[in-house]
Amino acid sequence: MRVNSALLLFFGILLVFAPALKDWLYDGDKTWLRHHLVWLMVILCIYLNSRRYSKNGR
Amino acid sequence: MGVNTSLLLLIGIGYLGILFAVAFAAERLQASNKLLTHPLTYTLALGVYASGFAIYGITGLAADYGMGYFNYYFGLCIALFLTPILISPLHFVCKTYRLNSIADLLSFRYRSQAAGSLAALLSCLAIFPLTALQIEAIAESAKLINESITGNTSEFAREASGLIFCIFIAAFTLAFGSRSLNSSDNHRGMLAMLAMESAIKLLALLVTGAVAVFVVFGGYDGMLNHLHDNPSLMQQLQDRSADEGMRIMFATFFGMALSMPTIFHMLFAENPSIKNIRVASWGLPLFLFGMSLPVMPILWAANSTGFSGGDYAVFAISNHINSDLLALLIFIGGLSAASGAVVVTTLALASMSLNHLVLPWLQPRKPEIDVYRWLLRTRQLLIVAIILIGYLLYAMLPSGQPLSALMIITTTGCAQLAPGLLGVLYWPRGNRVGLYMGLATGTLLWVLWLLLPGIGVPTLAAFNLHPELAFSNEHEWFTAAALSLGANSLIFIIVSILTPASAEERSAAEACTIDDLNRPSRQRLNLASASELGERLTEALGETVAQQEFNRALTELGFTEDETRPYALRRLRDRIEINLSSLIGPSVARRIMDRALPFSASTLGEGEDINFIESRLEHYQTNLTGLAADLDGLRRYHRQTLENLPIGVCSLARDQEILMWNRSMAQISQIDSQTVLGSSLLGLPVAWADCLLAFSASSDSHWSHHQLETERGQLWLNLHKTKSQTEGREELLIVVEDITETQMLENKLTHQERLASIGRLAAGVAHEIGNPVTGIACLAQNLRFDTENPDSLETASQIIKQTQRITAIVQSLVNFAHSGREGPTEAWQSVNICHCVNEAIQLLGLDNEAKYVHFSNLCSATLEVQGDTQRLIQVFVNLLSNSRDASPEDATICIEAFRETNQENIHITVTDSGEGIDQALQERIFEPFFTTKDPGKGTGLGLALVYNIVSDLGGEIALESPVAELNNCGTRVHLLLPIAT
Repeated sequence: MRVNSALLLFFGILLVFAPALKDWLYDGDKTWLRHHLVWLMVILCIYLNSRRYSKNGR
Repeated sequence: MGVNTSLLLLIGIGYLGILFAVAFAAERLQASNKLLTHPLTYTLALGVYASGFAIYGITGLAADYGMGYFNYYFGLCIALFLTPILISPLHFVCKTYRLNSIADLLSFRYRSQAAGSLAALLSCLAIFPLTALQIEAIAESAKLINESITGNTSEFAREASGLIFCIFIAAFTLAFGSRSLNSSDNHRGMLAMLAMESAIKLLALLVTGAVAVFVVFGGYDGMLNHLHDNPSLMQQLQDRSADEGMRIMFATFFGMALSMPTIFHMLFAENPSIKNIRVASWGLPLFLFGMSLPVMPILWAANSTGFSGGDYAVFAISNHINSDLLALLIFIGGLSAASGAVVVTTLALASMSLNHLVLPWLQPRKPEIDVYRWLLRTRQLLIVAIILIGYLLYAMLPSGQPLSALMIITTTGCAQLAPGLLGVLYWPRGNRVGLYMGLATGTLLWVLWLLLPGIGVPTLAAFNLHPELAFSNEHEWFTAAALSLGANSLIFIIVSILTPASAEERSAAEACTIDDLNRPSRQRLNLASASELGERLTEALGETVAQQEFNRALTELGFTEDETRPYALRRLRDRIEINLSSLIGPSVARRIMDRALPFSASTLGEGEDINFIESRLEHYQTNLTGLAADLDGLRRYHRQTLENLPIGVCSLARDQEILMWNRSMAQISQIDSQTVLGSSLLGLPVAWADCLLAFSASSDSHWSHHQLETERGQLWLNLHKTKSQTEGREELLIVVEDITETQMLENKLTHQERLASIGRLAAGVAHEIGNPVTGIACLAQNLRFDTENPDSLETASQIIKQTQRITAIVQSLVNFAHSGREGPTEAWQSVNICHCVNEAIQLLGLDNEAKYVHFSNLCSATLEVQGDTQRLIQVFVNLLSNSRDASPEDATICIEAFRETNQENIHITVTDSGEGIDQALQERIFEPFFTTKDPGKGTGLGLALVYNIVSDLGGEIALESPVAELNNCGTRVHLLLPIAT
């Protein structure tokens, strides 16, 4: 099976930092905003990853 | 009914009309139109996922589950985030095998019609509540906006808008979604409409969100102050969001994102290019981000105005600021969202139902029926039926049912297909029995626990559930979702491990698994040619459909009707099955093909279709990375080495199918490898087929100096063979060495040696005969003086004549022996061909007894060769004399000479119009004492002498008989002599 290293790295980091991320997300009165910030970061990651694929001509 | 209610309905109808117009205009545009084909247009169209629920119901979900509403968007976003390992491989499989729905995919992968039917049935059951939700959302919003604008609380607006909406959607889907059976680029109009409606609903929600923040709260700081002043809001949000059930909720929405028919249809059936998916992988999350951002502000703003519910919170904002325009914008946004969702969902369900719920039981039997038309009509009927069922379900929904409840029913239902779907990509061990059992269990739990209570049907007492209880208590549905999904997955895994999978299923599993290039085994088709395949197809599908599908497959593969290669016939059969699969589903297509074109029962061993694997690898090359790419590089290196070997290599399967035919083999045989690969040995030209068949059948490992008569002449070959040492492959490797040139050289040397031997023999014989003949001649002379007897004198005279004749023959022999033995002449000089020929003609003219012929000397007076004048005259005298003897009376003998292009030779031809020389005699014509003339008329040394003289002069001589220009009669002698320096 082909292993996507970028995805593996992402999920590895997510696993390590999940508890801290959860605490940060639900801390204070900016829960709604922080969720969307994380989402925006994820979109940015996907965008950069897709650009990498396009450059490789795949 | 007030005037404003009518106006509201007219606005709604007018907007739907605009959607019609946009779709119509897009259909008129060229398929290559940049705007239509732009990936962002497709991405916006994919926003159809955000249905009417995203406008009216999402606030209800947020009110009940806090940030849990995020899962509605995030499930799909994560699925898109996993595009490289999830969506792209699925896209590849679906496009390769023309699978347009999840039922098609499951049916193909698990090689089971039942799997497809079960998936289609579950999809229908799960999606009907979503359709009902859209109708409910439109009807309720129409009612609310009517109340808001006109103050009229009658139910007319609700009832009328629901019905009009259904009629419009049915008309639109029939007009733009089902005009043809091809599901790809023919739906440009629909895609354009979906893109537009996505833009409008995003605009509506963003504007409402902005109004909520900047008008209701007076700005972003005002909203933060409101939250600060009401800490219970944040506390409530955090409490509801932090619930453990959120994980179940996420898993359910993630499962739905993968297997929901709407999304599946948009991702794989309506999308021609993987590039679109790459853009959508970040574009759609961005779109959904925009849809999600205003949700909480709208809910908080609505609550701040006294609104206590969750659904339709958007109208609380428009009501609060008393803006009819905003209310209308929200209504139009909701209408856009709902209409797009219902159109795509209906199309997906109709296609799925046709292939997996109708066709397995009902197929057009009469041959005169136009199958395409029948399929189209049936699909259109299904479209109407699906919308009708959605409307009926909406009509029977219990009042007060929250929209989120319907969404959850759909989500949990669709998610039941996720385990089987993930198994397609990641678990080849999963089998159909496991899928049936898991899916049936999960579906049963879902129906009893969620679906029936959700639509108001009393469920089994054992569950002790009520519709209002099922969704008011969130733990109830979390439990139902977790149990049904968990049981489904667990049973699928356990049963698959415990039960065996068929070989066919394993093969399909390999075809679908990531990074596994389908390795089809070579099965035999009892067909002689592609045209026979077409005839067999006609019997099964009727003439029109069979001809269209047959021609389509031929065009796509670049084959012709004359194709006879087994490999090509297998590819053709597969292609037709795949094309049919997109029309009628993989199971029915497979059944029809198995009936019309069954594979032969005889197995060909475990041999894989090497040609097909190679062509797939060539196609897949750019996607290989790491070790796979290295291995592919190694494969190419070995393949290239084999190709470039200066010796012919051909590999034969057990059934005599040609698996390899390298470049040298193509050169030796003059048969292109592309035309011969995958064909049977019997498909080769007769000479090669006989030779290779005989050699492969013989017990010999080597054949040396094997003579082969081919169209391009005689070949001499050395053949060697060996059996493949690879386990499971009973193949034969044949190496063919072309030794024709060597053999010809050997033959020539042998011939020359024989001539030389004969020359030496002739010299010896001449010498031995000469002495006694001289004695006899002397004695005969003496006898003439010793007697007066006239009889004796006559006898002496006869003896002298005969001895003279013997002397002439002996002299010829001596001449021949000298010319053949003494090596090349030393009297080199420039010899004018024209003069030489003229002199020879003059000499021949002295013979008055010879028959009369014309000699036509067409040689240029300027051409000169290097040689010996006297010997060349001898050559021409012999050649012209032979030609004269062979020609009829009054014929013309033509002598021509010209300089060979780019060569240092003069080419001289002597052409007569005689009867010609048999092919068999031509080989011996230059041998001494060989003559075709009557006994006593020739010594058989003339041409042998010519041959020797020409060889001595460094030239060549050849015969051409018959001559094509002379109506296949006559003989032409070709002389090549070195040009004078």
